[in-house]
Amino acid sequence: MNPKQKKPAVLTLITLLLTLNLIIASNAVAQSTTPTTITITRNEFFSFVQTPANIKINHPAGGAVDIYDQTYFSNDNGEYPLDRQLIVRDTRNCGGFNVTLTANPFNDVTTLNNGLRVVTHSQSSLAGNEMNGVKYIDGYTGDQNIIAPLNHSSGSFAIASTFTDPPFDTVDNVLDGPVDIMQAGLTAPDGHNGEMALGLAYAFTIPKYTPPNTYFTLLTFTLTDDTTGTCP
Amino acid sequence: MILCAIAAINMLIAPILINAQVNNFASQELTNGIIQMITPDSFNFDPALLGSNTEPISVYKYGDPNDPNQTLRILDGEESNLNFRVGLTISDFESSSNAIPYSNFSIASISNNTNGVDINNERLNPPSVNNQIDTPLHCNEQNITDPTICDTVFDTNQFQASGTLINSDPSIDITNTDELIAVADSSQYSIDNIIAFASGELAKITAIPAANLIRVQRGYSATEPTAQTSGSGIIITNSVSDEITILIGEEPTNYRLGYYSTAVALRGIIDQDQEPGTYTGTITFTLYTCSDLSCI
Repeated sequence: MNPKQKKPAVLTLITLLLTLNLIIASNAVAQSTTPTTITITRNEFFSFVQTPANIKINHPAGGAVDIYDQTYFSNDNGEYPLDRQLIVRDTRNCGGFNVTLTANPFNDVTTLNNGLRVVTHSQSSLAGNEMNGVKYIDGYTGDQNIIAPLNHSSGSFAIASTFTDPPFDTVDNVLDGPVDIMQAGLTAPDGHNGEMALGLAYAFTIPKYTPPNTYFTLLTFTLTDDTTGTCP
Repeated sequence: MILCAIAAINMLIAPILINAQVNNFASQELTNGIIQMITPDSFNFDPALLGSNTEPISVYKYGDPNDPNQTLRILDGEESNLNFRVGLTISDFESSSNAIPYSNFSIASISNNTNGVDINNERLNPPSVNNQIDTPLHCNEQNITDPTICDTVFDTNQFQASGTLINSDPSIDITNTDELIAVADSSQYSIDNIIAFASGELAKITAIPAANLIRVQRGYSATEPTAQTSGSGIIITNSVSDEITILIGEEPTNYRLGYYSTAVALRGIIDQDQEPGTYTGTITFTLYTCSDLSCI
């Protein structure tokens, strides 16, 4: 057979293959999997019962913070909401703990953290014994000498001086780094047995000329065992 | 021992927010004539801490729309008439001895852009304002300051389970400790099936030793094992959820060409009596393409 006579047949075959390829491509299914994990832990004897709820501060409509710094307060309505209480449960009955608070940089604008201050208080409707700024909730037994370094026992949480006047001129309550919320370390066999609470209030000074945006940070409460000696 | 918990604080200055649309992805090579999908890498939740409350806790994982490794990416190099759809299923999250049913999980998608997908390639032919890609799970939030912010979307996009109800099983009463269960016809079961009793308790089939017997691992879910009455019914649930559609791309008249992405977000509901441990599940993304409307 003359080779030239084969050519049309080969071309026809190629055409068929292309058609087949199109059919496959036009009704295709492709799958891919992604593994996902969750680690769940529990400590019924030593844990947070509640951490304070989220806080939102709105600068009034009208634009940017211009030529003056602006200060806002989380508790400017004079109430002490239960959802802003930090509650720790420690029923180990031996040993102590510490609670610290840190804040991430606001949208990577680290200077904003210089204006975020926190104080604590023991004012709430929780039933219990109040001692040095900590509420030992009814049923609690054990040591009641927890130190709350940022305790502000009375007065308004809607004025700047609450957050800046003594002792906070020397005690660090600015969330540009970790601050101590509860210092409850103990030497065995002393311990806590029950739930302990305090409330948190924030003041946030926004520097002048801060451009309009939504700024946010994550507040991280860390509960750490602080026990000297050995518990049974 | 260190335990952490987080709260968020955010500050809103002025009612007009920045609506950022980024183009900082590395360029991806489109392949002429086909639509490809690249799925997110591993998708791990932060550790969840169960306390002494009785209420379930919600755990969240938001992929970052700015991180290519955390996004679902569509490389559309097809210039003719191919439509596409991406569906998503999820498996139970299992540890060595327990499971969190996939029906405890919900899904949303987020992007930098209010249209639900981000455009990340210079070689583009966006045909319309929204690229004609529908994002039915889209949560229109650009700053996830509060993980609950997409709860409205999560509430309506829970993974659904489907399965087969076998009314006649168990064929005799069982106690809360029975592991070998008499059934009418064990051929309806398969090893590794997850089954649910009438009480809601999940169990996992570990063996099928006879024509009317199955061996199960009791208490496979957070629910404690309970006694079951003969004939009260056993539901064999599918090992993966029903599919939820995350992207629908009907080819526009003047075609679509480019690299599009959206980030995936998951919410899980963890019961307080869930057994502590590390649970692993699998998300399966399926890309369907078709030249007619059959796949979308």
